[in-house]
Amino acid sequence: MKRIYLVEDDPKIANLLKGYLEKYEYIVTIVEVFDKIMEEFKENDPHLVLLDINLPRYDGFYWCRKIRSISNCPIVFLSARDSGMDQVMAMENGGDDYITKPFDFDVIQAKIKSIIRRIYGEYAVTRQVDFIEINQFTLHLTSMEMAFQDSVVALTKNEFILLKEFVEHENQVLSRTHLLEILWDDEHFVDDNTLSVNITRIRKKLEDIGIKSCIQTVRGAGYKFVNTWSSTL
Amino acid sequence: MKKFILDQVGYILFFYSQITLIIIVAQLAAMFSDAPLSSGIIFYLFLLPTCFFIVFLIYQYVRQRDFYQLEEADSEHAWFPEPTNHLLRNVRNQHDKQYSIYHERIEQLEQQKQLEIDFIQQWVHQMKTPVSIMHLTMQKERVHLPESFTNSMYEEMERLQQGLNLALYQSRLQKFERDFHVEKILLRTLVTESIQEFKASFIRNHVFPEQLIDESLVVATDSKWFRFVLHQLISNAIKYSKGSSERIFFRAFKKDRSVVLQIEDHGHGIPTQDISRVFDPFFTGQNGRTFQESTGMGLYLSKEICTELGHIIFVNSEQNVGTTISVKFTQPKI
Repeated sequence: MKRIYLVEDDPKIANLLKGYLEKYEYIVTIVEVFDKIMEEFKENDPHLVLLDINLPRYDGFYWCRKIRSISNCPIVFLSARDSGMDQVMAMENGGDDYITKPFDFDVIQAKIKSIIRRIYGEYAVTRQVDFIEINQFTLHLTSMEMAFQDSVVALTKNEFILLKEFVEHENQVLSRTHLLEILWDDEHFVDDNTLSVNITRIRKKLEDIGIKSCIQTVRGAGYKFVNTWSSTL
Repeated sequence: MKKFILDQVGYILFFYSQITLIIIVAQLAAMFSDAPLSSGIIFYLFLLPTCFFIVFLIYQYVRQRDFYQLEEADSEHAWFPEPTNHLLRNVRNQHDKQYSIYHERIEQLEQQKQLEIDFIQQWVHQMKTPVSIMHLTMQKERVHLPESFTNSMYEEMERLQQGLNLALYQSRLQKFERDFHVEKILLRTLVTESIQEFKASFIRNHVFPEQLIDESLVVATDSKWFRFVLHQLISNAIKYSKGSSERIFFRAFKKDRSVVLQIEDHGHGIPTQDISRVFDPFFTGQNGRTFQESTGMGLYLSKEICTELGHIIFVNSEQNVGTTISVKFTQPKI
């Protein structure tokens, strides 16, 4: 469990970030008194600091220098300013990274994760789950395979990403838009057809190992992963 | 010199008319006493004052030479030679007074403009916070909300963001000292990053990018400013090919000593009569009326920025076939 100290003067943003990061098992403390940032920092002894640049009284750069003078704790700046100058200032004052508003939860989470991993080592991240199981159906997260009873079948990267999302959101309707967004990565831009093809392939592979129609099409909304095999056992 | 002579013509004529008058009077007086002046004497009476007069004129010219040569001096500064007489002193005082009034007025305007620029920039940054909050809240609540609602909200937030960016860059461009920072950049990386930022928009509008840019192509540009241009071009391409399940192609090739980036959509296209004016400020044309919102400033700013960066931007389009926007980068010196 890693502690994050969040210095952000907008209470709404602070609370949204806190709520989101807590889902990923971080312990988030929001700044209470802006004059006592150093005291609060020492008290919390966080693994990472998220620091807004525009703060009442002193700006983020000032606090970053103050924290740097007593600790090597990683500091990530949050700011609405996107000028190169600010980013340079952030780095020069001892920041480790810089995120501009309006930000994306996923971007923030990815950055925090990579910094924490880099500084505190691979296994510092929340406990590693190696597989997800629903009634004898197993999805292996490291080998990208799925197994049911005695059959095992390998999945391609896209199939795996989709299936993992389905399994994690059992019985929830997932929209095509949402599925496209999780498939779309830095270099591969996935289109509608690719998604349809992948869904068809997953269904086929599931059938091959003995699971029928567990990915249901919800007209006009998307797809739903339903546990249909427990009753047939 | 010529002008000086022209100015003195009145004096010269007056001077000789007086000499002639005196000679006539002297001649009449002499004739009265029956000893008329010889022509030599008359000539001498003309010549002698002429010599003194020339010296006097030269002296006058030297004193006023600065004024006659003012034109060649640069007119940037309100420099005025030292006046040689009261008339010129009056002129100069008047000139100085007016100059300082104008100068003050211009400084006031510059200050006001700077204040406005600062205000706009600060305001834009402040407005980004609520947009951020909306974004984060939407991401959080997305699971519980109908997709049509979230899509529509995201669309509006994107428009807000675009509008804010437009205001920000418009005011940045007004600044007297601009922060252009040109460096060599991998074109593909820059374009890919911009495409990523439109991820949600691409997916929502069922338009898909085809990234066909060679990894080795390098261009010299300012990444921050050019990213803004890319944003304008991508959002236009999406807007005009919305919902048609079409693709947007990103290509680049070397041509002579430059690299050309092309963004090609197969969307609505631009009416022929509007093509030549798409880069004009506030020009929205027919598409602006057909497709909602369009400040007509996006392409104008893009062109301004490209000009500043030394890129050439141009457009080819056919209605109902599509639009290709090209940006030509001059080759960075290796």
